Amino acid sequence: MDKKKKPNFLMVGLGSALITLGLLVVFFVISDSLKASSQTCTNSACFVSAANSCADATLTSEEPIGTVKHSTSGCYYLKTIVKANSSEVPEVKSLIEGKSLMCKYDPGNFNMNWISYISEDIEYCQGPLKEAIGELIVFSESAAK
Amino acid sequence: MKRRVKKEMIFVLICIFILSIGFVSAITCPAGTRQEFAGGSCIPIVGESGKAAGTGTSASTSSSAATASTSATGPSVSFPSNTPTQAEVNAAKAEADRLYGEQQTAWDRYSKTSTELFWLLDTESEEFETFSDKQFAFEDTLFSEEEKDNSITHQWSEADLEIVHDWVDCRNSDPHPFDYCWSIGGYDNTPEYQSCLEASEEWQDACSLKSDLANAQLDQWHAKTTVAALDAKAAEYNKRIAELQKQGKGDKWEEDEEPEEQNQPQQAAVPPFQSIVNFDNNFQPLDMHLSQPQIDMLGEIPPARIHDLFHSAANNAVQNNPNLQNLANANLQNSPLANRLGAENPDAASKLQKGVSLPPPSLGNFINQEVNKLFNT
Repeated sequence: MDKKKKPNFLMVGLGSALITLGLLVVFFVISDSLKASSQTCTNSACFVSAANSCADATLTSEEPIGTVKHSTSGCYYLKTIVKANSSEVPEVKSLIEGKSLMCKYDPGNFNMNWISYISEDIEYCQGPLKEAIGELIVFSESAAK
Repeated sequence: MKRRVKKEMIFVLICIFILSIGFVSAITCPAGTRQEFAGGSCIPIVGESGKAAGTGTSASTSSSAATASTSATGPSVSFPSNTPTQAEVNAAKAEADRLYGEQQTAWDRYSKTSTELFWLLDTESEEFETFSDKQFAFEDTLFSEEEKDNSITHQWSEADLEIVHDWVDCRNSDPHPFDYCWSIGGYDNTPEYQSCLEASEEWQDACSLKSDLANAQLDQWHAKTTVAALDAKAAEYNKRIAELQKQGKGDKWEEDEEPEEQNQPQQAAVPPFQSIVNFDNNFQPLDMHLSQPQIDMLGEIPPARIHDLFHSAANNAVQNNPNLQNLANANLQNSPLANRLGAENPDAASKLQKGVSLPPPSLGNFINQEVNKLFNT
């Protein structure tokens, strides 16, 4: 008669950790392959072209105000202030960093002003970044002088 | 043997499940947010005070001026017979601040539903034509000093009422800032408080504590009643939105596929606001709160008046919005973003235009108040 062995919890634990790790690797591989279908642009011409055809594309640009990420998918445009300029004042930094606004447009009719300007034509957009810009505009006159 | 293997298998599966959920939750939500439910979107974690981000702290300088209610019950505010402790006063102030935060988020909820309903309404319908007027009347009631006067002071003595009337008159007459009016009126100048002060010098600290507690209680009451009024109106709007959606008038934003982006802003639709002020001084319809005759009249206002109008609205907004107070005190001359916005919007007319077309709750509201005040004088 076989002597009953006690379950080896160390082995069981290690086994479960390895299986979890494997599952996560599969998860990230699938996730990356899905993301790969989105075009990563390095200039605005590429991005605008993709946007006008309602394709998926991203463009990350370094601007005087900081790092701005532009994304488009299905004729929706998303602008995110990824990181404010390092010299930005703390009050503004906390107001805008990580915030986004989203705008809808018709195929072939992407509005270039959304990329070229901060506040132009964002009346039709929606999101926390739009509201932050709306608040900051009140004080922008004195800042400009 | 089989049983043991089964047990081990179950143990392994449980481990995998717990580790996976924990790990995926941890990596999918950015700091300051949590997952609404497994696999759901990330939502901001509300702090223990319940404040919306950046709503500021001082209920006594903000909510008192900005809130009122249509309720007729009035607050249970009176000078307590026993002197409160400083800890009790602090707790009351903290509660007032928390409620003020709730008021801000209630305003956001109300604002979102009113915008959504506006977007859904048939532009040819009578409901659409009267919607803006009704909405503005409701908001005006929320901020009405007369309503506040009627609803909160009925418990007071005649002498106290007279003092408060002076305060209300002060608030209604430009250009007194709120703090100035508070210094000449409100609880601190009521005969009850004065007699408390005069009774004995030793009592002065106690009188101050009583006054502070009464003011904090009043702020709490203002905030609570305002939240109730806003939520009731939001519920009314939501009911109407549901009716319209049943009739097949779906939101255009929901008809299309949404992008799979993190930090995705709210999906609520935005009504197509048009500028009321053009750079060439041609005024075009349509702002939510202005009637067509008012918009026509705006075209006759000289640029200098537009400048005054904008600054009056902006000052009004700053006094009542802690977010803007924070920005007003910042050193924006060194801000790359503020400078860029200044370059894009070089004059008061363009900022007035943006203020109306990019309406964060307070600024858009205050600009509309100032414009309407202009037509009433």
